[in-house]
Amino acid sequence: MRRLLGKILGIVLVLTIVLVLSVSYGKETVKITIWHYLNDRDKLLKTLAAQYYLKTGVRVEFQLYSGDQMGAKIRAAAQARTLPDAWTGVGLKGDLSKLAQAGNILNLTPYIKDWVSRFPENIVAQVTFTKDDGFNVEPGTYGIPLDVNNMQFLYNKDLFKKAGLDPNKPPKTWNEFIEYGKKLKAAGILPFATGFGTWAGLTMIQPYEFAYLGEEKLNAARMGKITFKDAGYVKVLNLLVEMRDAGMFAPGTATMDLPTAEQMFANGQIAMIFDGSWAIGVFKMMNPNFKNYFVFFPPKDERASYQALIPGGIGAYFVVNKDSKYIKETIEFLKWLTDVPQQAKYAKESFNLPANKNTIDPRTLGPQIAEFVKGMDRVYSYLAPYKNPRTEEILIKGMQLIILGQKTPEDVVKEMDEANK
Amino acid sequence: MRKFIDKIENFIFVIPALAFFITFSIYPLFKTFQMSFYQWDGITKNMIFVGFKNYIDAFKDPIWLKSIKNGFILSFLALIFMNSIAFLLAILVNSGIKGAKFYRVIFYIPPILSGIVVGYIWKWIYDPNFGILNGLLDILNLSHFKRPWLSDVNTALISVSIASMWQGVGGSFILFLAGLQSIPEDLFEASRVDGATFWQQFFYITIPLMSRTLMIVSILTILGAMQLLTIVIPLTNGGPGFETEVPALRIYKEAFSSYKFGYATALSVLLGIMLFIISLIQIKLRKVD
Amino acid sequence: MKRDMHFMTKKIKFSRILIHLFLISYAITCLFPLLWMISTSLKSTSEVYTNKSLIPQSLNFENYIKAWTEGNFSIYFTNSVIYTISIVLGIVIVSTLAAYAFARLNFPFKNIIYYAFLMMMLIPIPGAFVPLYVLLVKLGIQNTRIGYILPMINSGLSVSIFILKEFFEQIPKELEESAVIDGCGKFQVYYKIMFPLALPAISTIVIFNALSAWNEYILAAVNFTDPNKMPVQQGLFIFQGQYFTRYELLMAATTITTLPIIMIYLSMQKYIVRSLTGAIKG
Repeated sequence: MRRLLGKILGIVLVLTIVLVLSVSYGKETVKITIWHYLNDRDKLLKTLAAQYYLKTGVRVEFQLYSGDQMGAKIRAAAQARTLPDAWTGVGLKGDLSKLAQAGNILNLTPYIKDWVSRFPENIVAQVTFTKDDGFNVEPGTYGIPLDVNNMQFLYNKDLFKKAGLDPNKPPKTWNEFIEYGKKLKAAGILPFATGFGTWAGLTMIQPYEFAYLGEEKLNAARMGKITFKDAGYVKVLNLLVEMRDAGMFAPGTATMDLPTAEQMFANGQIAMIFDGSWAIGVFKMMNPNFKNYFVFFPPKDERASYQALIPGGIGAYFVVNKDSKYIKETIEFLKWLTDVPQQAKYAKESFNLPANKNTIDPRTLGPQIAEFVKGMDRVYSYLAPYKNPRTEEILIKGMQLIILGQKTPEDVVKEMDEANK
Repeated sequence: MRKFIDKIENFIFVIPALAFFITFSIYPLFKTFQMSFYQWDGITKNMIFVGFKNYIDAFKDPIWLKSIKNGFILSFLALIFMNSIAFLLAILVNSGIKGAKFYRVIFYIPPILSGIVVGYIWKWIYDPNFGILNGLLDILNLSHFKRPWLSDVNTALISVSIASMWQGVGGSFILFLAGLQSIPEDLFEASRVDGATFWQQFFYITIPLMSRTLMIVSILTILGAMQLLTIVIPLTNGGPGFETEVPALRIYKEAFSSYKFGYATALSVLLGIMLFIISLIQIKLRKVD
Repeated sequence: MKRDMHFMTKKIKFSRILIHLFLISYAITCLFPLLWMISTSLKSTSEVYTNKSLIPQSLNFENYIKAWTEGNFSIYFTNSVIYTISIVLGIVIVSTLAAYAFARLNFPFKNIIYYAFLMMMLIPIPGAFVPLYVLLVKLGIQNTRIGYILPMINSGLSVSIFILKEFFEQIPKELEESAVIDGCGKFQVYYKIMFPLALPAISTIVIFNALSAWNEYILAAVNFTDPNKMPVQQGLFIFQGQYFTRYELLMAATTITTLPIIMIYLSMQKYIVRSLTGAIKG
């Protein structure tokens, strides 16, 4: 009996020691888990995390998932409440607002007041909700930006020359743009392509949405307060008709994806493309010999009365779990990650520009990327959600049919208004 | 009493399968069915009971109806062309032809290939500017037939169908092959002695004895065609317009891009019921035969 | 008469050639993507985008080493082998038992249960992984290997039961009856007679399920948070960047991950042979 008691006491003692040790051990090492989809930068993020551990003793584990896995994983984990401490946001405000409404992500405003000034204002605005912006979320900033980009036109200088155009004078006005297209076509060169098969098509007409409708009317139409017809949206889609009639679209553009268009551009098979600042990195990988190209801002359309704003802004950004055990530590780490030295390292491997504006040294930039950097000021910061998300799909598909000559802009605008009711 | 014990004994055979089904299927199936009566975005706690509204909306949704129509076209084409080719290949490979082993291995390569490879190859074949198909037409002096196959409203669906059938032949081929193996060889021998020709054997022995396999293959073909997704996304993503929109893509987009999770589940219940009825008809039809 | 015979053999020879021509041309369309995959895997990064020819300018075998290490395949490979074997084994055991019962035995609610399985095969549940994951968390088996294997077995069951039931029904009853007279129990009939006779069908089940188990990645991504438990498909994502895909590495990795499936197929397809011989009436 006494021996048994001794045994039990012994076991209890060992257990207590283990427990105490593990509790104190647990206290020492904070372990933060972050999910991300930045495949090509996985190694870099892990290296930076290791560096951070040496410096602070805080362990950060980056876990890589593909883009569509991320979407699935976040949905499932949100329902089961097993989200990690932080993750790279998927999509922009539309998606973000759902997670915010569900109480899954943290309003970062109180934590990053002193930090946020390092990022351009129009960038932060893309992950910030305000009152009455149509998203029904508690106002505040919900994301920490890691990198930024914007989208403009690019053209092949050699092909311009071949068509008898001045390679140093890209089109400034819409009329010139169409004229150039016709001349390229006449010279037997495919003038233009971009990813109309996917989201990228939408981005090409966005500058003109702003130019023709102005910010106010555009957003009112998107929220369903006025019709797209009344807002004058037909004129925006008419630009595609003008391009089509000038023979500017390369065959297959209607359902093309962006990588295909990029490959054609990098191989000198199309003269112009609408693409993001990341494309410079893409071209370098696809065809290192291809260097004689430049960037131009969407040509000004004299018929439009507002300023054109270009798509772009935030590339990758982090959101923080509202239920995280280590909110403070996670945010500390994210601040460190977006500080100048780390951003400089990041910028070297990323196809995008660093989000921290102090990182960009204009003297070290190549000419094309410098042109994109200039464009950052003209990126739009706010776009209202569609009343019915399906409207966007109707628009993408409608644009494809306009390019093919199967539908008129009037038809498409009518369908959009029906969907957005 | 004896009979009762017998039945209980028999039941033991399905218990493992049933255990899996009850644990892992009932809950998701039930949830899906339940969600179809709600308006829900899939994330927030905002769930509104809407009764049959999602179902009624589905019947008025032109894009959904178009996707169903496309699904039927794809099923029809696959039933006729893909399965004829697969059946033909299986019979030829099974006929004691030289190199049968080699063909047997090669013909199942397409289903094995990763979707990335298949998508890339078919995009290359159909590419309007530098594609294999248009290049071939040039060589054959048929340049007037050249077109952007995937972004032409007249050819997009057919082009997608051909790509998916090419990948699907292998699956049907294997099933037919397995089916052909269960026809006893002596039946053929006996009929040969009786002086039956190849075609007589084909219609009076092969086809009737393959009726079950034919039924399995056609049900799985329709199932595959109606739930086609992986090849549509890289080739056309449903475009141009909604010309190659398919039911599975529709359900996926409604659930994850449009945040209409409730509606998406209603669509999948409708699709499931439809497939169930079609399968049931096929099962019963075979029994009537 | 003799001339006629000669003509006949000639005709047969001619049709044989036509048949081979057809089979070979079809085989070429099947092999072409495979060749493209291997050729791409040996190219350099920019060559993929600038040289469409199937013959690479230089052979970059180091792509395979890079793909293997960057894709973490030494970890993922073992995992996938474990998963695929357990999933396929589970499916074969559970589905043959059930299919045999559905085909031959009588028990209460037989039809209802069978059609429930059929229904499961036919309803495409959008985001089925969400309720499934919630369930795994409730059961406390999320992020475990078993929590991945069990639902994967379940997802393969219905199609397998459907195919096998039909094949079992096709097997002549006389064989079983004579076995029962010899004193075999139901279970003995199942594994001594039905199982070997249905081997062609079971082989196809193995092939189909091995393929889908090996290629699965959504449930794996949702279920696992421990990278050491991930399957091979996970290793492919690292090469598909947000803006740029490194096709040469991706294809090297895909070649690596396709090989085991080809081997499974090679080893299983030889069982798709006539299992019914002797004097049996259909």
